[in-house]
Amino acid sequence: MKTAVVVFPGSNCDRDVQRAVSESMKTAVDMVWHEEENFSGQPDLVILPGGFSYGDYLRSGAMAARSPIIKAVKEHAARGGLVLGICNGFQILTETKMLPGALLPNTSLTFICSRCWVRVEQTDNKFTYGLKKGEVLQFPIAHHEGLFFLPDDDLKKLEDAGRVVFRYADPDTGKAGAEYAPNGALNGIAGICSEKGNILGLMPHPERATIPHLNGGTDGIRFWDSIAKAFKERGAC
Amino acid sequence: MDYKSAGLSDSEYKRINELLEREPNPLETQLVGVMWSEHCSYKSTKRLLKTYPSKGKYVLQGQGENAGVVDMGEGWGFAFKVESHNHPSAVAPFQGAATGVGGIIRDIIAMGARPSVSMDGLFFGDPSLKKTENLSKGIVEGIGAYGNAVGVPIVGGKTFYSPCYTDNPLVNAFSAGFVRLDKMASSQTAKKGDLAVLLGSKTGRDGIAGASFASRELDEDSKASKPQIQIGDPFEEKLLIECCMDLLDKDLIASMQDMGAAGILSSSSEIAHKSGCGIDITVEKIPLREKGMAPWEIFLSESQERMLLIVEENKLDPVFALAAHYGLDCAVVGMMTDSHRYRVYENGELIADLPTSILGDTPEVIWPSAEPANIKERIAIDPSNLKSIDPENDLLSLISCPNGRSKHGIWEQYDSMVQLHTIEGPGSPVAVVEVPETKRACLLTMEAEPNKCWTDPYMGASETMALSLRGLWISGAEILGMTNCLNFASPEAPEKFYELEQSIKGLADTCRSLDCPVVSGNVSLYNETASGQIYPTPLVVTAGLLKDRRKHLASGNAGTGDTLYIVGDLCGSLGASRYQVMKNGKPAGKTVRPDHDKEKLFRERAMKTAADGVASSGRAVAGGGIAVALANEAITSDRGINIEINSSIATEELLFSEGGARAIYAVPKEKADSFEKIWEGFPCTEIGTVGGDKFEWKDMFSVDLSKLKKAFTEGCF
Amino acid sequence: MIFQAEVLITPREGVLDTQGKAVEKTLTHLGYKGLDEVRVGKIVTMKLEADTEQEAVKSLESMCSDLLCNDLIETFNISVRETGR
Repeated sequence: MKTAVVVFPGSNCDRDVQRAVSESMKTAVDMVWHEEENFSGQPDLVILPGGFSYGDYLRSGAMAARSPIIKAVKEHAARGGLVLGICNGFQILTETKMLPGALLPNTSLTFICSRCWVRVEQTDNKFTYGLKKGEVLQFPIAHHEGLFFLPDDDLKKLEDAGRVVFRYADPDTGKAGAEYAPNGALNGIAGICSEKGNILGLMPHPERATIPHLNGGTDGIRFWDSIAKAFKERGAC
Repeated sequence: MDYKSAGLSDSEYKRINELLEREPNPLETQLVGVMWSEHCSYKSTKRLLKTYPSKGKYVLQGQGENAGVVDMGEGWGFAFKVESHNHPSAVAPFQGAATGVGGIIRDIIAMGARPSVSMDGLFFGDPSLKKTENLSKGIVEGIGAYGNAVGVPIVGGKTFYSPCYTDNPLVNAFSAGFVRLDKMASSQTAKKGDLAVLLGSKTGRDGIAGASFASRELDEDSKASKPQIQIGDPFEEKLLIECCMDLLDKDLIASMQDMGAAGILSSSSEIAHKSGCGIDITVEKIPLREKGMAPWEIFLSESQERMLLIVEENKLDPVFALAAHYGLDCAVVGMMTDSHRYRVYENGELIADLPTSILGDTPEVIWPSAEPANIKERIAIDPSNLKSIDPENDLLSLISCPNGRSKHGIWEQYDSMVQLHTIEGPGSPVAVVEVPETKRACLLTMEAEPNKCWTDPYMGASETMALSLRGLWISGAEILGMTNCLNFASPEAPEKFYELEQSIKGLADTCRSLDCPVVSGNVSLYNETASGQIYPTPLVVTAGLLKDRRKHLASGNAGTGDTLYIVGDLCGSLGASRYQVMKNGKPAGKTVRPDHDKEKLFRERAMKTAADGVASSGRAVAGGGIAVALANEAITSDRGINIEINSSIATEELLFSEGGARAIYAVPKEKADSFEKIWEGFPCTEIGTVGGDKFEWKDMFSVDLSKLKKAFTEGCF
Repeated sequence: MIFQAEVLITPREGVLDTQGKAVEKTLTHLGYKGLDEVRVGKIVTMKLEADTEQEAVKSLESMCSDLLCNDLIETFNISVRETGR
């Protein structure tokens, strides 16, 4: 499996993702500057990492979404390739309209960095394929704009289509919903996927829950294993 | 020219005339005036700072560079430094704090290191005042806004409230970074023919003469001086970090200097002086953000996010190419010479011509020192006012008050995990960070004890330093070095200079006796207003090394069934303790007398306890004494504890006294013998067990663990 | 012709404006009465060259749809005035 991580000016978590992914999925990782117009070789998985691309100026992810590389990301997705957007990466995906919605400022109007629990809502996509529906995982969050928003009608359509992949949850009861969202996200939505299930955007950081001796936990390993399993069993497209 | 407006005294101006053998022109007067300001020259403290021990087994770079560097092993150095940004934060809290973070980060870049971690020492005023709420909110937001955007995790810090800081908040920004030893940069390696290149933001009027601003007391006029405040752009800084890392990786830089106080002037003159060269700078080559800037404005501007690079001529093209790749402005602004002169040209005309030594070798000022007239008042303590009638209530008050409660409300606003190397982050008394690509760990403690320094500067500073070491010894770490930020009032009053002088002495003596070299630091003086001065506030950050991170002994890991011990005396001093301040309203009484022999005995045993893995958990006894240390341990371990101590010591002294080499340990039953053997020859008292759901202290109190947690986390009970 | 342009960008009706709510709450706290619908937006100003005012407005509308405004959550309002040749 080949992975490409796109680096925008201001991306902070690109090297974190590179380490987490290469250590757990044993995949070759190519770091691709946002000004490139193509991916060299054909990656199987393209990751848009977290950080503050363009300083979050104007709107988080707005300017990164207009980068030269985005055309290639869209083409890759159209071919069925995997695209994963983490935190700022998720914001960028909504700005490119590759995923619906927008990420608004947290209700607290503060940046929040803490442990966070999400429930797996569906496993019909190329990312959570190897996980169990209903299982609760811990991925740390660190963001200022994590309030997932869609107008009511579109929100209902998204839910009915089963495109919510992760929902903020309580680790003790296994319940998930808006009341467990640390940022006010509508319906407690933490991550969603595209119709074909090959594009996933989520606000929490699975790469921060990958290295056992660090303080972020290890549930990220299950996430990467799941992607590797999906790739192996269901192929790239 | 009016040399006084340049911050120069009569004798200083006379000296300048002597050194130049002529009168300086207005521009030259401005340049020297700023370099001779307290903030840039350290003239009041230089000779005192020379008394610090600076050599050590692990010291690669001591004082005198942008940051100190210690050896982490396996080819890694650790560059670290702490710096103040007090005056700007008092006037414009958000930007003052933000640019403080930005400034110290650039000092780390200048050593060739990727900024890897940050910590912040924050000192706020009376927490019940709206003013304090506004200042603290702005400062915390400013630190987060900058640090989070630039991608440097905040792994620890210290927040302290006292009325003395109401009009003089302190912001001490610490940063550090790992650097490959063969990639370390220096400000001392420039040579004739090398080109001076300005990388980063265009130069504007931000913060002009901010260095002089920091060298004066704040008065009402300071509030109107908002244009002097620098505005930070963390996005630009992030690009600067990546570009510099790339330049260093490709060996394109001969020397580097960050542009901080007095921007272009200080960075260029420091490089020229330290490298033993001269430098010629051409004004019109400096990229400007505003029209019509005069040379003095350009040289003294403190526009942020700029670095000065010294580049060999044949490497210029690739440097420009990399700058363009990252979207950064880049311009050749001067050249290194062998003239030993600092020369400024404007359109071919020589407008300033000074020996580099006049800018680099700044004069010293010897202020008189006198014991404060109210020293008796400061050390007088009335035991009858300190009786603990309701120990449970006293304990809950101590752990729920602004100084005792959890600061998670602050540090959850900071990204503590970016860069994927935090092992132990905020909320822990010792921060632990992975050394890249190794099994080693870097450990950090940040300490300050202003109350104890107020009542006795020497003893307070000694205790501050010893406390920062004890945390690391308990963790099992070898000591590498220390950086300090000295926050004091005006040195011009003998009683205030005494506080400064004695605090430095306390730090120096403790560092020398306990083998901790001082590798970097910063001094901030004149922290006072018409309404009062700050308490003497020396802040230290000490770095330690664990060769095998698995040998780390953390706190908050007490296991059910463990035996609890106190090592060290059961009693310290109530003088200037958190309890005493709570009861009396302001600090009084001395803390414990430093006992370095005892510290060494403690050190040896603490290190062995960690190395042999005979304890589950260990924690230094610090603010709030034994009772608070036990409460914190119970809360973090999420375990009840049961204590019984037979002693004739007065309740309040036993529970809440502070100071001295003391710690609590939780030891698994099967390791108790080994533990006790290690601690032979040092006071060691078995005090109880871990278990249940209460903090029970026989004949003292019994508090539900849930109540304790609530008091600590929510600040109420 | 040179135009001075102002693009006012505000949260769309029906979109959570947490900043607006927080500002309204604080102003009320400070004693201001009778406040309603406090919204926090942003303004982008610029000088731009165009042959006519209509052309300038068209260009700005295009900028809004290309970058300045996320039409899922924001609306925009453009004003231009001539400022020189």
